[in-house]
Amino acid sequence: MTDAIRSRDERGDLELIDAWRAGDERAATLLVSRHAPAVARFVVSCGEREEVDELVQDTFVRAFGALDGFRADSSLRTWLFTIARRLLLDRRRADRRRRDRVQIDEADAVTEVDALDGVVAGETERRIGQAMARLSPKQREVFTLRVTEGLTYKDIADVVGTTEGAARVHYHNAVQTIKEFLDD
Amino acid sequence: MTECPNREIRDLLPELLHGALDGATRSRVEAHVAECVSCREELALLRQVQALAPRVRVDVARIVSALPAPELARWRAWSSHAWQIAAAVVFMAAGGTLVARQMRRAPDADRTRPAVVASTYDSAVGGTATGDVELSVGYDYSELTDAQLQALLKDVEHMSAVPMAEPDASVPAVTVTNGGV
Ligand SMILES: [Zn+2]
Repeated sequence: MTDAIRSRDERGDLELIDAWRAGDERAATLLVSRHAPAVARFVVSCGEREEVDELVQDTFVRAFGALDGFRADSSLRTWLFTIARRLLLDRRRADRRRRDRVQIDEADAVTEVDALDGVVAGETERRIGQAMARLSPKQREVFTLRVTEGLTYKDIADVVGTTEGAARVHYHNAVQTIKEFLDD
Repeated sequence: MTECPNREIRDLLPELLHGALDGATRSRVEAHVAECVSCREELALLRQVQALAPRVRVDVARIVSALPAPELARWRAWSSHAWQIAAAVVFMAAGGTLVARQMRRAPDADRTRPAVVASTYDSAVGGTATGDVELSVGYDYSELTDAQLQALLKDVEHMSAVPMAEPDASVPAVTVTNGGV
């Protein structure tokens, strides 16, 4: 069973949430084990390198403190991604203010980094990493959520705050950009 | 690579990658991919991207230990939605305390005193009851004994005396608090 399939098992997550509310701490451990790696992966894919574990922890603390706000019609993981992304943007805004730099649009807030750095294996991997670095922040976010996390366009739209149609366009543009780079 | 014109199939490649397609759809997509070089290459590319995903070690135990207790979590969620109810409860409790304090101060005069005092005070200064809502709980004057009436009259004299003794700007707070004259 892949992460993606398990994340669609709403019943499993909801049952564990109920168990945790009833005082079963093991249920929390299962939920965190199930979703934390994906949240961390997403955060890193967004270009975050510092205190990733802090951000992942904050995401879960925030989520477990407000589980009543979790709508069962989206997956728990999608909701966690949404919270993580919001915390990430908050952190960057704060960092930016601290550095006394001008505000830039939220769409540009995901920084320009090589999403695959540190994983350099062969030539193909290096080329793909370079190709992904050419994507716009939004394209990279959408592409990563679609390919690495297996989210639907609807869930991606919820996470990044856009429409399903826009998410689809971002995805296909990303694929196009990567292909063109690799064909050169 | 030449682009495959079948958008529907291309849109399903990530689902195929994640094993998230139902049997029939999966067979259909796989049959297309077997015939289409472009989709085969695209699927291979997606597979490589997936394999390149960063692996981040996560300290599950640390995260779990930082989580709020279930009760606290529930309370937080409840309070964020129901702060107005909470505020109303506090308000009522404050009103109740005020009444209780009045009753303690004059145990012989029993529970009728606060309401009567409030009403009398309002009429004495010619104001509305806006400042004394929590005291206007509607007790019946007819329940008063002679002793209570005596005590009440003393109170009325005392309270009426405040604005009357100093009628001008020296005690503006009294007028303002009770809705003005
Ligand atoms: Zn095709």
